Amino acid sequence: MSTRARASAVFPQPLEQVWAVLRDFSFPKLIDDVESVEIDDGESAFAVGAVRTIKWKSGEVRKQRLVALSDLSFSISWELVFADPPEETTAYDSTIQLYRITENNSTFVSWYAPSFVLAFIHSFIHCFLAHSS
Amino acid sequence: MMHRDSRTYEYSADVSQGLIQFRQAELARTLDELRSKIGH
Repeated sequence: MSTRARASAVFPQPLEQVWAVLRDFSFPKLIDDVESVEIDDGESAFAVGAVRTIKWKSGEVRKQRLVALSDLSFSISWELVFADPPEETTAYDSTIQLYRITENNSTFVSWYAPSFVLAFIHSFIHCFLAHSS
Repeated sequence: MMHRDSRTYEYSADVSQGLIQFRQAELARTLDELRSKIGH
């Protein structure tokens, strides 16, 4: 059973153009469902450790911390530190990694989110069913 | 006891797979949106 959500796509733009957008930790502001993205405490959107607050038009709020940003491997990683309403998982992290497609100077974008915390859900459901029967 | 444990595992596995599939669809949709935004 997979415990990892993964999606990927080919962007027609050159890697440098895609990376210039996605290395900015406030990039979720581009998403239509997002109302606002703010970097907390006046931190730089490129500083590891910075926390962004994302407010969705639905009213959801999430805080995520930048944990890795590499101009060498063209990857950016963050972890969830707060969610209102609470996430179905206690925490998760995400990584976006870019690869240059040399054949036509486009970009392969991979986004994966390990869901190791699903073990928590297994335990919770197991306990719930065990005590309800 | 054995029956309950088996049922529990199947149920939790279904929930987990559902979450994974939901999240994958969410990631794919966001990537598609970002691709269109970066292109403009």
